[in-house]
Formats: sequence, structure tokens, C-alpha cells
Amino acid sequence: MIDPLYVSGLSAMLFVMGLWGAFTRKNAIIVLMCFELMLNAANLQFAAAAVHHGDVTGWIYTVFAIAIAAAEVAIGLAILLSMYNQHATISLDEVELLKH
Amino acid sequence: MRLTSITTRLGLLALLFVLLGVLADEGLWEGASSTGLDTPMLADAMFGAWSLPLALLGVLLAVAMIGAAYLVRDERFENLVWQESGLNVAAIKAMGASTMEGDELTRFAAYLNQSGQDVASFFATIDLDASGTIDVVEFEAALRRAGIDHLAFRDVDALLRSLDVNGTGQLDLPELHNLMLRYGADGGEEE
Amino acid sequence: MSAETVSGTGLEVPSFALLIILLPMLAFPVILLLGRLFNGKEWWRGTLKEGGLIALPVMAASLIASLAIIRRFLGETSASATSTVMHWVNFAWQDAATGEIQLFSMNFGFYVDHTTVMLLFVASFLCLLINIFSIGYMNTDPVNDNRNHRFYAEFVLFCSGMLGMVLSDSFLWLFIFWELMGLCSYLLIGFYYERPSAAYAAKKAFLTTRVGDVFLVIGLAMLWNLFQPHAVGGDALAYSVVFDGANLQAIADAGKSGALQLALGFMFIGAVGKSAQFPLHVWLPDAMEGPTPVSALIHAATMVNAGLYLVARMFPIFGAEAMHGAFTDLAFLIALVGGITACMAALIAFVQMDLKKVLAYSTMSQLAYIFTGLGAALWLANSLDWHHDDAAHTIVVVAFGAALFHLFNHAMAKGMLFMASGSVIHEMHHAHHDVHHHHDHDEHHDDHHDEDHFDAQSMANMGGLASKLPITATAMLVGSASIIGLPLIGGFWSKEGIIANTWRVALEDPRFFLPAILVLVTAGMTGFYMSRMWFMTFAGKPKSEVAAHVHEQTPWIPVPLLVLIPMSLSAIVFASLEATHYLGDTGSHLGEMGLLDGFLYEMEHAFANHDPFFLVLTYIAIGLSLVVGPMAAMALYGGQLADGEVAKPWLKPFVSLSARVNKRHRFDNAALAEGSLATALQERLYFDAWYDAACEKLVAGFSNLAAVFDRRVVDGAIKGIESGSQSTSRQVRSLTTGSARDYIMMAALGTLLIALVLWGVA
Repeated sequence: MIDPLYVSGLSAMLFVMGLWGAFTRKNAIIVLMCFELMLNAANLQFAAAAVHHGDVTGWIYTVFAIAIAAAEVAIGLAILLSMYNQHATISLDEVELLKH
Repeated sequence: MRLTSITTRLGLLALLFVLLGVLADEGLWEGASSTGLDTPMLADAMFGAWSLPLALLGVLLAVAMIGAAYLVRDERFENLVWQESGLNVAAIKAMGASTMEGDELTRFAAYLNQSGQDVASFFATIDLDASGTIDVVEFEAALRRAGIDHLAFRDVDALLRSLDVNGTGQLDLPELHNLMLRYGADGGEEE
Repeated sequence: MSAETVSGTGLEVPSFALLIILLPMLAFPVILLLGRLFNGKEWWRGTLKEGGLIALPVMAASLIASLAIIRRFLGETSASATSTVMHWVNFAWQDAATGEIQLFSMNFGFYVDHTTVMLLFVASFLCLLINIFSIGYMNTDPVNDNRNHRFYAEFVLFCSGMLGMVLSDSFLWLFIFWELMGLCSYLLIGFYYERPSAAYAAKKAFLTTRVGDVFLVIGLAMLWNLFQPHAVGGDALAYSVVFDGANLQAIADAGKSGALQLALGFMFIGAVGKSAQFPLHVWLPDAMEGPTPVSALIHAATMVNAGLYLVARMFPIFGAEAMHGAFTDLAFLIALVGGITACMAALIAFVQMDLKKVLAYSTMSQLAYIFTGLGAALWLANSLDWHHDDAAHTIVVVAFGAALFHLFNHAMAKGMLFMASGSVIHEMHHAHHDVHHHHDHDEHHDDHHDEDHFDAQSMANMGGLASKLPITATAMLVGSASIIGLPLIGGFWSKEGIIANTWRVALEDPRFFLPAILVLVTAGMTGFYMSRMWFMTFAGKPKSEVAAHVHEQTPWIPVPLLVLIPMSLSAIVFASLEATHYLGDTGSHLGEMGLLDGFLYEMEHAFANHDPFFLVLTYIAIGLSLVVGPMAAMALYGGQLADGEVAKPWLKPFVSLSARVNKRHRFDNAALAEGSLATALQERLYFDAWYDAACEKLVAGFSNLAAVFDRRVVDGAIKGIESGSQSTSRQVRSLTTGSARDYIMMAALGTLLIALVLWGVA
């Protein structure tokens, strides 16, 4: 088995990458993907901890997180579609109606 | 802005190191278990202790899906129609929603005749940026001056395209002449 | 004046003394109210003289009560007992620390001693006479119709103030009544408030005396501070506390006599303001804007004497054994101020053409004389060992007595002079109306411009009135003689006393030479300007048509004049009375003197003094005031009456003498009259202009400061808050960029923060 420590480290790196992308990318779809990346990283963390401690609760959390991520993506994409219908663009920079 | 982005990136890097540092803490990794985990254990837990939360999760998921489906219902409808009959619903919608009444060009020609100007000077008054051609915006402005203001923008665009014989996307002087000939009162049905 | 003025050992003041103050004070609202209600009614104007005949019995009652008090205390040598009439502040509390009950009470009561007797008589007597005079003066002048009630109301209030001040037993109450008089003087000077000059004069009077009052308050505060340890739980300014020998000894032992001198000095400055001495004298000439009875009462007879009363009241402190030698500087200051003012006022009176202004400056000058006399007396009381040495005791007592007696003489004479001048002006007005009436009837001339500019008060329009206004002329003659110091009449006895005493002190303290010389020179100047006034008005030919038509016609006016003439003439009687009183108390070798002995003492003292220095001095003073001054005046302004006019027999010699001197010694004073000195004097030595400019700068400076403060600090603070909040909101607003990416970042940062906090907590 892989040392759970390394899995944890990977999960941290994935999380930061996802965060970086969420901050930086203009394309809304990419940002959604980055959110997914972050969620995935958290899932990895749960899984690694569960394996290390032999507690199945960690795996349960993972399952739940995946399900919730799926729901969230559905809603997120629907919102994206509405945004496109309104503004004819999916670039987050161009949508600034709420700018002061 | 550059400063902010640099700060952000450095901050994220710092965050990474902090996270790694926290995770490397030995205290977190005590109590390693000898027995491994396997799928039957997961199934056992899921349908045993966690059955109720799982059910609720299912309900939540269903609600989310239904909601998302509702949000994109128009697109799903279009997709369904295209799938079933190959029709491009969007285009049909665009067509069906025409605001044209049919006599716009006649009225426009009549307006030109009444102004008493000859076609060349009329062209000059329509062509606001003096580019030698009339584009959609100038055409629309001219229509409004003539009292034709009920048209939607895409209908104006369609009108222009119907007048645009040489396919430049804009009207030039001969095409305006053409318009007068075809729809002008004294022009009549001459072709 | 006794050796030790310890109050509380004398007679009780009878409680009807309260009526003296209370009756006039209550008459004030009564007259005011009735006047408001019944204004315009015939019976109010005719029978009650618009309040005049309500005021008259009130003042008469005050006078009778005053005389009763005076009679009781006339022979007394020590002050009255402490007689409290009411407690007006009275509260008790429990001391938190010691648990015992602490009391604090302040009283109002009466204090009568010789000074009180003197001023009480002067004030109540003259108030009554001037009341009679004003019924004749105010009620016959149509310009005053329907507002006389205001006059009489303020008049009685003022009288109550003066009488209250004189009778009260604490410096605090002195101050309260002092301020009351200041208010009434403002109201009465500005009686003709529709005239801007009158309003200005009232304001000027009030503000100038206010400046003095500030110092008075400071002095009283310092006095309270000094005497508080000796009067815990009570009024530290009561005379019983302040004059107490033991208290003064304690203060001297504590080394605080310098502070006490400073306090008395500040109080003196208050007196300077009230009595119109240099440098706070500028209000007195302008105060002539008020009606003549007001000038008579306030500025000759009673209010300006308040300042003198205050200084006289300090005598027991100066004379206390504990304070021996500590107050000579202050005494010198008092005398110096007096000397300077006397000379300055006399000089300015040289060039005055307005009858009342001459009298105003004369008042200033004579009050200065009294201050000089008081200064000398206080110096003597403070420097000589008069508690133990009989001769010193006599000197001190006589010196103080001379100053007070001059106050008495001056009040009588000046009141009479003002009333007589009022009579002259009044008759000039009437004659002017008659003449004008005549003109209109006979010739239909358009002389209206003449009426507007005719100044009934200017001596340039008078002349030859001796035959036309005999009673007035006599009154003015006697009054002037008293002021000048004609031998045997009025002011002579006191003036010589003051001059002699000032020189006596000068021999011991060389600083006093300055006031002594000034006072001597001023005697001559007084002779000049008073004679000038009389001869310009009453001798010579009438200088205007109006003057030719004048005749004495108004009732009521001659009455007070006729009463006061013998008062001044018989001053020798009063002088003798003074002498017996002063000298017959402490077992000096003069012992119990009779009136005749007093008379002989006075005569000898005046004309045949033992000390050759003082003998020469007396005769120099007599010569200056009697001969040099009047002769110069006669030479310039004398003259025979108009043809066919005959003066009364006792006036005739004066007129003839003046005519003769004028014919023989007439000299041309045109060069002097047009010279720069004359111009400066006419501008009142530029004091008014300088004060106006300084005040303007001061007020403008403060106003500008306040304006800058308002703009920068107050407005600036508000604007600062406004701009601060705006910039803060702008900065916070800039967070809402509308960009989703920024919001993601903010959300992430927030979450991170919470995680940090939770991790830290855990």
C-alpha cells in the first residue's frame, strides 16, 4: 500500500492547484472544474485517513462528498447556461453588472 | 493588479507549505491500524449505520437534479426537438418572431420620394460616418427617421440582407437605387 | 470715628430703617404698573403727575425715617450693633466626615456709623428735593408726556439702591446695590432712547463702569478669600468680619497684608469707574444726555458718591493697628488718581460751551478732590499712631472728616447747580417756543431751520439772565461759590482742609507732592471755569433773542433751589457740628465741645493756623481760588446787563464788578482759544477717541478669532467627519468589483481565516 502520508501530500497539492485555478481562470467552466479538483482533493484526504486508521467512516464521508459534488456541478452548469443566455459570454471578467 | 496576482500566487505557495507541514505532523498519523479496509465493510456501514443519511442524500441529489433540469429546460426542449425531427428550433423561433409587416420598404421609398431629394444626396444623409456604405445601424436609424420603428433588430438585419445584392453586408448607392426602383411609387412594379 | 471701630458695641439699628430701602423699591413696580394701566388719562397726568406724586410721599417717608436714624446716631462714636434683618441664604448640611451639622447663612442687616449718617442724609435729602424738581421739570415739557411714569419708577428704584448701599452691613450687599444703581443709571441716561446719542451714552456709561466693576468683583473675591477662615459658615464680607481688629491682626501675622492691599486696590478701581475718575472718566460728560434731574441725582449728588462711599468704607481697615504702615502705596495711588483727574477735568472745563458739560467736568474735578482728601486721610490713618497719640488722632479724624464734609458740600452745591441749570435750560426752551410762536404769527418767516439747531443748553446763546431768572441766578451763584471755595461759604471749609492735609502728608511722604501741587493749582482753575460759567450765562448782554425773552415761570422748580441755597450758605454750621463730633469723643483736651466752640475752632483752623506753613498755604489757596481765577473769568466774560435790566440787589455787585474788570482788563484770548491746547481739550484730550479705537480693535480681533475658530475648527470638524466617512465608504465600496473571481478569492480567504481561528482555538 501507498503510504497514506504521501496521499495526504498529494491531496494538499491538488487542493492548492484547484485553489489557484479558481482564483486565476477566466473561463467559468474551468473554474467549475477547479472546484471539482478541490473537492476531489478533500476526498483523497478522507480516503487516506480512513485507510490509515482503519475507520470506515472516512470512506462514508467520501461517498457523501462525491454525491454532493455531483449535485453541485449540476446546479453550477445550469447557472453557467443562464449566464450565457443573458450575457452571451462565459468569461467571468466580462460579467460585472454588480460592479460598484 | 500585478502586485495582487504575485501576492496571491505567493500566498498560495505558502498555503501549500503550511498544509504540508500540518499534514506531516507525526501526531496525526498515530494509531495505524493493522486490519485493512474492504468493500464489504463499506457496504455494511453504508446500509447499516448510515442508511438514513444516505437516503437523505439521495433525496438531496434528486432535488438538485430536478432543479438543474428545470433551469435548462429550454435548451433541453431544443435538443429534444432536434433529436426527434431534425428541426432547428432556435432558428424557427427566430423566424416566427418576425416583427415585419411587409410594407416597410414601400413606406421607406415613399418617404424618400416625399423628401424631394435625389437618391445620391439622400444616400449621403443616411450614411452618417460618410463611409460610402450604409451599415445596419445607419439603416435602422434611417428607418426610424422614416417613421418605421416597430422592427426588431434582426428583422432590420434581414431587410438589409435582402437588399444587399452583392453580399457585402452593407448597402451601397446602386443598391439604394435598386430599392427606389423596386419599391418607389412611380417605380412600381418595374423590375 | 473711634479709636477701635469694633462694631457690635453700639446701639441697635431700629427696624423701621428697612422702610427707607423698601418703600422706594416697592414704589418701583407700583408706579410702573399704574403708569402702564392709566397712561394718557387726564387724572393720571394732572393729579398724580404721572407717578411723580406717588414717588414724592415715598421719598418724603424715606427722608423722615433717615432723619430719625440720624438723630439716634448723631452723637454716637462707635458704629451700630450688628443688626440683622433677614437671613437670605440659609442652609445646613451634615458633614460626611465628622458627622456634625454644618451651617451656612448669609444675612442682610444694617450698619450705621458716621460715614453712613453723612451719606444717608445727603442721599435721602437730595432724592426728595430732586423729586420735587423733576415734577416741575419733566411734567411741563411736552416731549416727556406719557412716559414720565418710566422716569419716576426708575428714579425711585435708583434711590432705593443708593439708600440700600449706604445702610447695608456687608460689602456683598454694597456690591448688589452698586449694580442696581448701575442698571438704573443706564436706564435713566438712555431715557430718551429714540436719540442715538442718548442710547450710545447709556451704553458707554454702563460699559465703562462695568470695567471698574470687574476689578471690584476681583477685589471682593480676594477679600472673601482672605477673610473666609475667620467667617466660616457665614458672610466673609460682612463689616463685622472685615473690620474686626483680631481678624486683621491674624491676616497681618500671616503676611497677607500685601494681598489685602491688592484687594482693596482692585476695589478702588471699581470706585474709579463709578465715580468717573481717570482713566475711566469718559462716560460722565456723555451722561448729560439724560434729563437734567437725572444728571442732578445720579451724577452730582448720589451715584458717583457711591465710589467715594466705598473708599470711605475702607477707612477702618486702613486705620487698624494691625495694618500700620502697610497701605501707604494704595493711599498714594488714591490721592494721585484724584489729583490727576482734578487737574485734567478742570482744564477740559475751560473750553466747554454746554452748560451741563461744564458742570459734569466740575463734578469730576470735585470728586477728585474728595479722592485726594481720602487718600491723604487714609495715608495718615495708616501711618500715624493714632490709636495712642491724641494729637495724631485729631489729625486723622479731622482729615477724614474734611474729605467727607467736602462730599456733603459738593453734593448740596452740585445738586443745586444742576437743578439751577435745568431751570435755565427749561426757561430757554420755553422762551424759544414763545419767540418762534411770535415769529410765525407776525412775520410768517420760514425759520424752521433755526428751531432745529437752536441749542438751549449752549452758553453761547445765553447772557444777561441775572435780571430775568433771579432765583436761579442766586442759586447758581451760591453753588459756584461753594464749589470755588469762597471763604465762609460751603466748600471753603472742606476744600481748605483737603488741600492742607494733602500738603501735610506731602511733607512726610514726598510722593504726595504731585497730588498736592495739582490740587492747589486746580483750586485756581476751579475759580476760573466756574466764574466763566456764571458770567457767560448771567452777566453781560443777551447773546440771542431767545435769551432776551426768558423769564422764570415754572412752578415747583424754584422750591428745591430755595431750600438748598441756605444749606450751602450755612455750611459753617455743619462744619461746626462736624468739629464737635470729631473732636468731642475720646477725651482729648477739647472734651465736650459746644457748637460755638466748634465754630471758633473751625475759624481759627482756617484763618489763623498756628503752623506758619499751613497759614501761608491757606492764603495761597484762597488767593488762587478767590482772586486769580474769577478775575480772569471776569476779564474775559464779564459785562453789564442790557439797558433797562436790573438785577436783584444781592446779584448787582457781582455783575457790576465783572463789568468793571471786563472794561479795564480785557485781554484777547483768541490765540489761546484757537490754539492746539484748546483743540485737544475740546476733544477731551483724545481719551474717547483712543478708547473707541482700542475697543474696536479688541472687539474686532476677538470677533475675527471667533470667526476663524468657527470656520476652521467647528466647520472643519463637521467637514472632516463628512469627508472621512465618504472616503471610507468609497474604499469599502471598491471591494465590490462585480468580478466573480474576486468574490471567489474573498470567500476562500474568509474560510481560511475561520479555519485558522478554529485551529488556534483547538
